[in-house]
Amino acid sequence: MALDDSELIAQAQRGDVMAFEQLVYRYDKRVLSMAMAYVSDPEDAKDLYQEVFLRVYRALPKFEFRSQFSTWLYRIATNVCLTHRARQKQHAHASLDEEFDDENTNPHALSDVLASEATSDEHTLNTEIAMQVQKALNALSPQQRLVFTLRHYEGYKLKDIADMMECAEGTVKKYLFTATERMRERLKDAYQ
Amino acid sequence: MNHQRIREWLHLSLSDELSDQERHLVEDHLTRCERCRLELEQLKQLYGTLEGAGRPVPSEQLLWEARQGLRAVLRMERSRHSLWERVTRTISAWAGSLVSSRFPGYAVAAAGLALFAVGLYAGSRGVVPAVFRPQMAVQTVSDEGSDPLAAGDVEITNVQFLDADAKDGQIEFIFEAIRPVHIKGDINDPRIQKVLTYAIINEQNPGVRLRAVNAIKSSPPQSSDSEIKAALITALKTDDNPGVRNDAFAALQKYPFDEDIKNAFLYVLTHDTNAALRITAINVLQTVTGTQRRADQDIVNVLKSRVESDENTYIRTRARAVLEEIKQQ
Ligand SMILES: [Zn+2]
Repeated sequence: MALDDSELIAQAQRGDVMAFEQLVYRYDKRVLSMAMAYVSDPEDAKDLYQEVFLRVYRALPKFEFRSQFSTWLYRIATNVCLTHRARQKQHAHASLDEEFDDENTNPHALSDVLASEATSDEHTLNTEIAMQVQKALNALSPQQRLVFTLRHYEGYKLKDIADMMECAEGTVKKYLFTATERMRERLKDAYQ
Repeated sequence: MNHQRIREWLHLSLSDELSDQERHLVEDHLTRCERCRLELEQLKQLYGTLEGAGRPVPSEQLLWEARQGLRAVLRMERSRHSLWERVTRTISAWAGSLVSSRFPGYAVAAAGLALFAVGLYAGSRGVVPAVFRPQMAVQTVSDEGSDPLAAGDVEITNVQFLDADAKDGQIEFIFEAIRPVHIKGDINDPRIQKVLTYAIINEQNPGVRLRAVNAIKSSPPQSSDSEIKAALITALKTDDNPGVRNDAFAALQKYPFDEDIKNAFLYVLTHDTNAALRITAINVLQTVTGTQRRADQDIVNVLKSRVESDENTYIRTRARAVLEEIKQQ
């Protein structure tokens, strides 16, 4: 019989490795999906995934059941996403302008990802338009991008996103609005 | 009602995030405002474009790789951070219990943490060196006969002072006492099983994981112990070493074929990057479906997907053949 989360958590807190793995496997598809939507690059998504669950692993002994485990986990995940972007930016520091505006540069080598589409099912998307959408997404601020992908790709309600990001729903609405407006501006040529 | 506010609400209405009252206001405004109707049309186009572009979706393969990577990361994490946190959590339980006779004038809190080096004698496989960190094995010196400092071969490491200024004549510290432990017993001994389970999941060294799996393979436990079985399934699905996965597969074949094992084998057939393992999986499933007549829809579905998409020609052919056999039953 399947144990519920709190039983698994308690076991994992006592150091039970298998219980921790079981717990991870309950949620990790969503986390990976969230990461993939956010960074679009499979290798980056794997990095995010590992970082999220490493932090969960480290923090779990202090988890006190004050919130739902899933809420707590997704908070960590959103945090990791937002800081991951910062790390990337440091790397690409020299080419900030290109990163956002130039035709040929993309911090996640999206063109590679899309080109490899034929050999994997990593992407259901293809074509020019998908590239442009990704580029427009990459040009958003981390918060805007996260809200946008969580809402439009992952289907979370704004209320839940606010909870994950630990901010007011109004703030999330603002992020979403600005994100969509900026996407629209960038994609004007693509759909008009 | 200003247009800016309405524009924001138009976005929200397309995301299905408006309250009933807000939606009424928007609809009402739209009947009267040409500009906002146009705006809504444009937004719908934008959303259509976004939808048409699709989205990056992680493949099952990526999930598999991510899990393998995570396992390696956690293994490293465990070996690095061994026991400090567990010690501090339990230390208050017995602070001061140690030995004023041994260290007169001081109350010493010592965490004798059992970090057992285990010599495993399983079957005739010889010694398997392993490190065993039992889950709650904080030993207190006051435990009868289990003073970790009493044994001659204790190695004290990682001494950390909790209170070293000694103004009040009290010194408090914790340390890890590492002591080699030999356990000898057969596979049905719960202690042996515990160590094996631990080694399969946590041991850094793939050679040790391999020997632990092998020990089970050569003499599987009589009662089908679910913890060892679960450890084998985890190893089969996620160990980064194909040799370990291969032996985990062989060990699992000694268990009665049930849903868990079926799913694990199907997982291998679907996801394992190693073609030899996928072939083994097909062979085993063929035996099971042939002699035991246990073909079910899950098996059929996976075989079909292999026929269609396995990159390996031989596997595609074999999968088709097994499907044929099943049909003729
Ligand atoms: Zn208007």
